[in-house]
Amino acid sequence: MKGLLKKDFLLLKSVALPIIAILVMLLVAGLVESVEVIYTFILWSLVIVTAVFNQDRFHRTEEFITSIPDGKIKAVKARYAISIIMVIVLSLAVFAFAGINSILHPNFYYTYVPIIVLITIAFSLLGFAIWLPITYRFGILKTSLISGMWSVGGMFAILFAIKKPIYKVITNYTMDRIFMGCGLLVFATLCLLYVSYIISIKAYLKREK
Amino acid sequence: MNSIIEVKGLAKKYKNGFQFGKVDLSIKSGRIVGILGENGAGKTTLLKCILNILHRDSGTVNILGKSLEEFDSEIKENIGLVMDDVFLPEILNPKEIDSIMGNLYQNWDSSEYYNYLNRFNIPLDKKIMTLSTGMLKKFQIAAALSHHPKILILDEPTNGLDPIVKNEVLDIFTDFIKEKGNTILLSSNITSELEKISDDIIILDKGNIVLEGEKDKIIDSYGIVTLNSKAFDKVDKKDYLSYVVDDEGYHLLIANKSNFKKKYKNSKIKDIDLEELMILMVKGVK
Repeated sequence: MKGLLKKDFLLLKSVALPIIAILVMLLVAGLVESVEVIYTFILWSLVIVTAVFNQDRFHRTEEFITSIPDGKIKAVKARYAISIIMVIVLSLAVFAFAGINSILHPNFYYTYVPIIVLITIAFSLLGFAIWLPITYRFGILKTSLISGMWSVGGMFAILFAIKKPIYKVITNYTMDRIFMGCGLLVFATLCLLYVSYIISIKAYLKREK
Repeated sequence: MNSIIEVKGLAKKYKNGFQFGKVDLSIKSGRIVGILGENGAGKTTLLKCILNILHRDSGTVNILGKSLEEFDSEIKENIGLVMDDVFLPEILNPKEIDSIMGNLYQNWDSSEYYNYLNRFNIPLDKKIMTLSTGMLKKFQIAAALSHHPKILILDEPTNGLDPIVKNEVLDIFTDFIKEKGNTILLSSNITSELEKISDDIIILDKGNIVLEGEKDKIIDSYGIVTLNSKAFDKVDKKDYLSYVVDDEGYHLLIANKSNFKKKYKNSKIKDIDLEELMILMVKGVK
């Protein structure tokens, strides 16, 4: 797995500039315009992993993967590993971003920061848990074409739909309960990610390339 | 001699109608086996089906006595692969590939890899996508050999190489086979190349094996007889495999020169080379 993870990072290096540009744009938009931009960070980690899939397709490395020892299993492991790494990077970015916002905006309490971090982790993991098996079953091209735009739009719709209930929960429940709820949410999505990993391996082994 | 690759009843059907008939194949250890066939005959498909890069509709493949489905990792550790469309990540450079491959193959030998790169004059910091066709092929060969495989599977390995490098590469293959138990399975359209290095040959036509066996025995036994139409009419159909007609007359492919000579005493039988054999097997009228 280490070899393919290394390959994924080397491929990512080649598209690092646009990825960083997106992040900077989000940060600026979030600080200047609206704190809600924070939720779009979830998409940022999905965008990065999509970029790795696209790089593989563009540079025709899929057949190479099938030719190496346990290539497909190693490739899925590496892709889930990079997804989790991206979620960690994302959570750090969200933590920093939310922290700065809590200083800049008086109505944005610092106690919200860990809650927002946990929610973005949970939703990122959920996004990967749903999206990765679909990609391994149908390939990145079909997945991007058929479901990509809809899922991105859908994700935005969901995020803005849950925004009010989240604030309602924050204002109506004790912090202990909120933290426990968020922790459980992260745990549940981690379990879901594991199930998704098993499904992805089966789907990829069935697929020809 | 043990079979190192055993294929039984391999079948594959494409949506476009191309069908791989039930292929049975037994490749012995320590041999160079050449697969011949015109473009689209199924050479690459056969190699990919053997390696499970393409899924088989039916049939079994055992490599080194083990099923590829069950022992994928162990088997692929022992296979070096050079294929036109099985790319190493081409945006990376040979140095980066070394660090990747070192983590993918247990037996990856960096010093061997750098020796080959040096021998082939391949720059270490140049992206693979910027290498010329010949350089790319040499690079693929270097990568395929650097984890000390027991089996080399090569699809058109000398395509795009100049004659000097081609000979150098063929010498490397000959050196590789000298090590006990090593085997090469290679497909090529270049019959002279296969004639030079292969021990056994397989001729494919439209997804079916039409001829297989030891190259020297085939070359010794098979021949061509050229006849005019009157003489052709007198030859029993059972005594030839196929024929083609041109301005010189009927060219008959015969499987056993001595038997033919006994039966048709005045006939002049010409020795055959692999190119003529392939043309007559594939394009000849049966």
